[in-house]
Amino acid sequence: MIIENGRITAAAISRCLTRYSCSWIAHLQPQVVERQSPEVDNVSGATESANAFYYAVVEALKAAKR
Amino acid sequence: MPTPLFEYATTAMSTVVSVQIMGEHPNATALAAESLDWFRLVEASCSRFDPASELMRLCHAAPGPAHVSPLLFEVLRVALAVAQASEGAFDPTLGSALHARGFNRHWSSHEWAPAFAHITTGQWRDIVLDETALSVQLPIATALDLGGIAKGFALDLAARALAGIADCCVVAGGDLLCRGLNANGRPWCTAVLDPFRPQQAVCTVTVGAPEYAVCTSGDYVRRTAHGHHLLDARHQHGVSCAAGMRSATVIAPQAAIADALATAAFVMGPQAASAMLKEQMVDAWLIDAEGTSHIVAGWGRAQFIPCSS
Repeated sequence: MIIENGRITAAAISRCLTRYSCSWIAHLQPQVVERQSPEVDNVSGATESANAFYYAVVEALKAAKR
Repeated sequence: MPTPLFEYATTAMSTVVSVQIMGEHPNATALAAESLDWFRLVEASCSRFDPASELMRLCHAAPGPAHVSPLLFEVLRVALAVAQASEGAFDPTLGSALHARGFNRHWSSHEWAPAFAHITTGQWRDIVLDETALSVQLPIATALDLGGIAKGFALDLAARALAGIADCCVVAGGDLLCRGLNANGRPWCTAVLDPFRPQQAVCTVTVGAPEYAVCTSGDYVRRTAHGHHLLDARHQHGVSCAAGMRSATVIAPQAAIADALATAAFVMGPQAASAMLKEQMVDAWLIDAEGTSHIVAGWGRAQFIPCSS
């Protein structure tokens, strides 16, 4: 049995944790987030595509310029 | 006084992935980068859309046992366990069926995914894993697709990279893994989208556990002319889009399990899924094709609050 109580029983996760180097740390910038809704932190739903996100950002920028 | 919430985001696995870290930590940027890098690594290994991925090289390897990385081996091992637990409702061998239904281009390069010669299903039953040799033996013409589990597995790995951070959340396009408390010092609160009105929430969920995943499978975003991507291959008459559900949200201690069980639950429909999820000791909010919600309390940690509309 590998799954028990909603968990993977074997050390499946740790086995994969070989260290890799990341070259893009310098490009990663944090943003301080202000929540629009005080109650909800995040949203769970069917996976939005990255393209949809891109277009949403574009639309938001357009709306901001108006 | 709320703690500042630092968010790092990038794109991977055809969606937006982000790390949210509460408060200031000396190595936060490096840890966030290492965490997010797991999505890229898991994608490079498990993508059906990249002919150079380890997964596609395995699918096109010569017959017989093939040596694979620990990462691909473990994703496959968990995938097969969920396939077994759900009696094939979760089927990691639907790559050719998905390809034939138009899920056949890479999300960022838009290049065509490698095609398969035959449409095959249900071959997960005959996959042989050898843990000692770290090898995988596939039946002839097996077309693996790990789309229902790879993102969850990556979430678990990403969370492990943040092991030193007490309060954080990793989000991958609608699936997430929460640890500790939010910026207000309260339990993380997640809204579950309404599949009939995807700009609105159907409920919110908080969970009485130090770390947990919330993963949703739904038919309302990814579609082609042939329908959605949640396929039911359990029937004699061939593959069809699962029709009994609109959305399945699973809450479990780990994201790989929550992700794959959400896919399985969607395919099974509300009644069979409720029994299966209970047996797997996870919590869930299921929304069937008529819009009726079904709550499953197999773990007993999730508190759902329905949203009035």
